[in-house]
Amino acid sequence: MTTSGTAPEAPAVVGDEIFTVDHVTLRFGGVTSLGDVSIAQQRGEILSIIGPNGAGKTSLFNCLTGVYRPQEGSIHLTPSSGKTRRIDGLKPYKVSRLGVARTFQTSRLFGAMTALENVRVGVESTQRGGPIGAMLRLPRTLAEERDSDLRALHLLEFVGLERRSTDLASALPYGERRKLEIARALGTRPELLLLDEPAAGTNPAEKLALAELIERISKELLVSVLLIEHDMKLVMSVAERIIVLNFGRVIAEGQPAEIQRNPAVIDAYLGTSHDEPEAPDAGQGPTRTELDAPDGGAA
Amino acid sequence: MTAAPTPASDRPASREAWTLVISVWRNSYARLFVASMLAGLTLAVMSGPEGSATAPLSGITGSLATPRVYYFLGFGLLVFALRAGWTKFGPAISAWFRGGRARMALVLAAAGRRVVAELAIVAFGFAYVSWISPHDTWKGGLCIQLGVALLVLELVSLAVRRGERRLARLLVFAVVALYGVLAWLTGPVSRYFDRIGVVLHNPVLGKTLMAAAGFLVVVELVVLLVGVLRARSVARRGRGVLAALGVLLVVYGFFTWTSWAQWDSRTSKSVARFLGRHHLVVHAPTAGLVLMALGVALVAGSLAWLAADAYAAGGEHSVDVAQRYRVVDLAQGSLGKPALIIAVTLLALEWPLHMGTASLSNINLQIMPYVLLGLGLNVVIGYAGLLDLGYIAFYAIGAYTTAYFAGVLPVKPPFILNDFYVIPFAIGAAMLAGVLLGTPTLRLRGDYLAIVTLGFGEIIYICAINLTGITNGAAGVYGIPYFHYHLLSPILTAGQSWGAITYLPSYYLLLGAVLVSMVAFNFLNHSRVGRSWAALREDEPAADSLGINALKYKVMAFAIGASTGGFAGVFVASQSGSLFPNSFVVPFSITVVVVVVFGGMGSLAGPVVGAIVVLGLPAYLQQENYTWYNTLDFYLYLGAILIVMMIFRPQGIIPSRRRRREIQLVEQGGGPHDDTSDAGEVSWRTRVFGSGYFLGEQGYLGPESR
Repeated sequence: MTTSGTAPEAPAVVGDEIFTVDHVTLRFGGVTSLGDVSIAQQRGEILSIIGPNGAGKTSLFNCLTGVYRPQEGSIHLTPSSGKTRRIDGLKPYKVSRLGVARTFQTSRLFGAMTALENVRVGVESTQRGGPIGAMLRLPRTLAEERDSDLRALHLLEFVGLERRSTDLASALPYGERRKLEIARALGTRPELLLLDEPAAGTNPAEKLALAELIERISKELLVSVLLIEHDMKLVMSVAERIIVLNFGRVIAEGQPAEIQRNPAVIDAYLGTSHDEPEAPDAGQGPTRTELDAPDGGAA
Repeated sequence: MTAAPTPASDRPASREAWTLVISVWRNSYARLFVASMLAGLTLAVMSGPEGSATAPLSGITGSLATPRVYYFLGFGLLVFALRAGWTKFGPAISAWFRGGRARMALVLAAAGRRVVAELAIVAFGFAYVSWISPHDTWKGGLCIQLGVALLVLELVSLAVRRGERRLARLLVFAVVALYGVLAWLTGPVSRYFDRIGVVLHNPVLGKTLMAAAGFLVVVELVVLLVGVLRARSVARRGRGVLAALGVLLVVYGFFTWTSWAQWDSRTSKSVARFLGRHHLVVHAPTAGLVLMALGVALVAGSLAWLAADAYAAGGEHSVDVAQRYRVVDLAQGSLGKPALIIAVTLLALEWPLHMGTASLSNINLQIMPYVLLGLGLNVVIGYAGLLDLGYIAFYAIGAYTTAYFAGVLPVKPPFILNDFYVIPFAIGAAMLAGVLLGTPTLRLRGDYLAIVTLGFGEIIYICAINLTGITNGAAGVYGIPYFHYHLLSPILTAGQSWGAITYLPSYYLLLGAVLVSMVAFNFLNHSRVGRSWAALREDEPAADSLGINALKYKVMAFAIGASTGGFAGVFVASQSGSLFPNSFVVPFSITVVVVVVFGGMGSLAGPVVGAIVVLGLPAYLQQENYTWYNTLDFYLYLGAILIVMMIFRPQGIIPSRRRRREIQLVEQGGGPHDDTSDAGEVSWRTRVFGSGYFLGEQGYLGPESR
């Protein structure tokens, strides 16, 4: 067991695929939420999924984490152990144990717990101690408690919330709740982190910090990040590759710069949204002025 | 040879003696040795011949006189050797296994837990002493004194280790004072000490010792007070000390004010009579009133000070203020809480000695079983947030298991067991029933689960009524034996069992069980398991996404909750000697839920207080035979109290901090589920059971896919 929550477990092999989605179709009654979607993410990559509202982004997340079971197609996950497993149809908690962590579109923190306790819940899902050990306070249980306490503190430090550890999660401002949710998800020692609109409702300064945090998660923790985001500046600055969904189908895929020029993407966005395509220079990396600019696009 | 003075001779002799005592006491091997040998002796006495009512000591002396005792002492030595070996090599083995030697040291450093463990030991020791000789309650007193001394020594060693000399000195004074009391009294306890030569029974010496200790304590308090008042930075503690002094003054004034002569006629061993007889307190009404007024002023002043500070902090938000200023902590904070626990435990140990048979039987048969049931159901409702309306079924299972192993049911067991040995079977059966009930039904949520558990309770009840060939049906079962002194006798004769002589041993057994389950459940609630339950309660989909297996944890809560129900079943079956299916109908399940909700879900003391109020009050009113009180009206009053409670204090009398926050979150509309219902309109169920309870079926979908 490592003593530090921020140290990588083992050097992950960069370049192979961490998950593949093959021809997945998800329907709700007559509505097709995902139609024949096939995507894959490289290990260590920051991949972003964008698309207008209702494009099926969150449905894809829910399929990946076992909340929904797609009617057709398959999803495979390859953890760093190297053994590929089919994960569509697995229960969410089992998917989580295979190393997939997620955050939610609306904050789903445990509001009555402190920030530290929130992270500890995530950290402790990887532990093994049972109720008997807890009731008798066996040395092993106590060692686990200390370990989770320490790791949770490290993670709070990692996202920059170490001074908030004893505050109630519900008392945190919006941007910090987002960070706390990420810390909680990181507690489960994921190899793949799914972020569902982490920048929604945050201010420009917080967005800058968030972009930095996502890059650190990828570079320092060697966790692959799959990002859903409406904020184009954030996406263009962090993502290494972008997949565009519209009406449940993949309409484009490629480097940020390519996506910006893609006519299909521009069409899709012009049809439903007004402000996103107005970021012509967003692909050139973030500068403070860009990210500080007032932004109405965050949903 | 030069006569170089050794460093030790520089010190005063008294200090050296104390250092020696403390160092011996700090030696874990010495303690372990004493404990192991005592355990061996205890076993020897417990398995020996029985004492008779006329010669209470004959049981002990008889068993110690036989050569058998050496086997038991040998057993004690073996235990010591094994445990000591583990203490010596345990860390190395542990380090080898877990690679965490440093963690082991940290674990050992957390000595605070030992104090709690020792309290439990005292409770059980007390149970045992009153058990081997129920006539001599003074032995119970002896056990208390020994337990207190044990605790004080533990605290002294702790204080010395932490470098808190002042506290250590205070504790030493307390020991001196205790010794003085024992030397001075002519009571049975000190006579006993006199006889075994521990304390010289000498009033003059006793008074001198006590006066010296009292004076030193006062000096110490003054020094402490001055120090506190000077150091403004620890003002918070200062206010606490002031308030405590005020309370002390009020109590002292009260005793000075009241006449013990009045108390004398009512209770034989009242505190005031005791104090009066020994002239600890002067009987002077005027002085008493003045002292009390002073005390009240002190308390009110320090509280007002606190309130003013909190107000000046400018937070309109009461939670913030409470958190920042730790108003709650002043009452149940780091110093107050252990003291409160010790005081309540001592009260629970001592008070029954002065009670009449009727009160004690009420406590044993009405209140204590419901305390146990409440503690168990609290795990299900309070910790895991599941509504179980059929909880009494586990109690029934425990009771019928007892009857089965006593051989009084139509179906005969393969072997007949002493009630003590039934306990694990009954607990196991109840837990198994919990797992069997939970595994298929816990996929349901909220109302649906409540209905299924209601059905489960009915199934058990109907089985008990209709399976005449197994349970003897509605006619009930008779002849379940009482608990018995000696573990080696499988079936017992009347007159040598607990219930036939006094209710005290049973009471202490129950008290021990309550204490142990409270400690265990408290540890559980503050562990990984407890946090997982809290997470599931608040937001199941989020907990699920973090890898928490919801079904597993819920079944776990059912099984753990069922265990105390099973124990209460054994106890009540053996104590009342008979059981009827009508004791296991739905209203009793509801009563247990009321106990938990009334006391405060998820809090440790909640079920205890709830059971005392909900069951103790009617029992008391009935016993006192008030003319205005009709037994049948009780549920009317209870209903009224509950309605008022749910309006003004939905979190219960003693709410758990976490549950209170959850309810606040829902009421402020700030909870995670405010999108599933109108924030302004909170249903009574949500108010009572918290936000995670009735999650709504969109739980997984989230707003986008709705």
